[in-house]
Amino acid sequence: MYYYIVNPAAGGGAIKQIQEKLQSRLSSLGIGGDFAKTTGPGDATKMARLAGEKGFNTIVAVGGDDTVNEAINGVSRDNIGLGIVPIGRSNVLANRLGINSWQQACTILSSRRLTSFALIAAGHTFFVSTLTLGFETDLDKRLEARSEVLRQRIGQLGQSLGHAAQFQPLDCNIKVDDDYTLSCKLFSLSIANQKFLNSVAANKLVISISDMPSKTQVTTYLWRMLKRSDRVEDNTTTRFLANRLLIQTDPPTGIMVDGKVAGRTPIAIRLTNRRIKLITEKPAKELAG
Amino acid sequence: MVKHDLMGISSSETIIGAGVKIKGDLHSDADIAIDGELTGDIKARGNVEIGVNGVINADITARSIQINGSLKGDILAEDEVIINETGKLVGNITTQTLAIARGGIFIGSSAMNQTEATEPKTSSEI
Repeated sequence: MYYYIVNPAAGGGAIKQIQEKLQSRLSSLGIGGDFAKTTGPGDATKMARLAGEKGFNTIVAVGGDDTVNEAINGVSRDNIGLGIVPIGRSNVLANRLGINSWQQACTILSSRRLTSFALIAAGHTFFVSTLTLGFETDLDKRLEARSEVLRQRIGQLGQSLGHAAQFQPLDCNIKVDDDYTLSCKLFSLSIANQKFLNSVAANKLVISISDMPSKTQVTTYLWRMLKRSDRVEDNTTTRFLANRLLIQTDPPTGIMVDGKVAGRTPIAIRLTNRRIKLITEKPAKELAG
Repeated sequence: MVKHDLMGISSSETIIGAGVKIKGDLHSDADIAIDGELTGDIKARGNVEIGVNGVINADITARSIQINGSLKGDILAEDEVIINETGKLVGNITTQTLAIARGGIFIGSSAMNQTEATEPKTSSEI
């Protein structure tokens, strides 16, 4: 039996347009189930926890990255599979798992291929995909929403370039696995589970740091960001692997987990022993690592 | 500068860019490319490449080591050590193959692994 956690606000209320088709499609695939709607932030976490307690072995987040991350934080049993129907404004996590539309998601859900990922802890928040800090995070707070309309997106690009010209790189100090301390001036930093970037790799934090890019690089970087492409790390100058980190910046700055503010520096980040089984597009053997 | 196609490299490679300073020991199961500063030790199962901006104070153990920047420390390389034209090494080398390009600087002694001798054999400055 599947338990669907639906965020009615995701994607500007996208669920209204597809609700009947979605339920019909899920029923025809034999994976209908219970549907519950969130009413505000934190609901998906509580609902996922309750669904687990009620004995559901498959929980599906119908929404964007925020909804998925909330659901991840509520999954408490190892034998629960978490699926995604991506209808949010930001669906980076689903896209990285090869899930690009709600129609495709239905087929993937019915196959129920599970892949286990280690959860990353950033303070008290658990996540599976990407944490960022620096310019991207700073900019995200300034833009109300990334636009779908080309003209507005170009306007945002101009606004963002102005911000980039004024952005001061952060003095950053990172303690890595008790082995060494790394210090640098950074433009942006991202942390992901290596297994998300390379499906055959082991679970490990991969840290990418970009220093101040050239104007051309900034333009490319911003354009990709505003298009919500997840390939914005082209200016990476430093990259390394780790299991745990302590990050300090001067001045202290906000961090984002999959596009949502999730804390401030200084912050401890570690790969945990907790696993989440995600329903993925590729067969488990291709993603095993 | 260490030249790498960042999107094309193996996910387990370690790359330390110019302007980055490290204090402590760096270990990797794969290759390490370092164009910043490091004080400590480096151990890699793969290859180590020091870029032209690299300033390293470390003993290094790796499969092969290529030096384009500055290195102060002893190195043990299973396969080979290459000191390129912009490279400078102050320290001792133990390896199978040693190559020093014109302009490359090596101050120290080298022991070649393919022979049974373990005593330092040569001392040179080019």
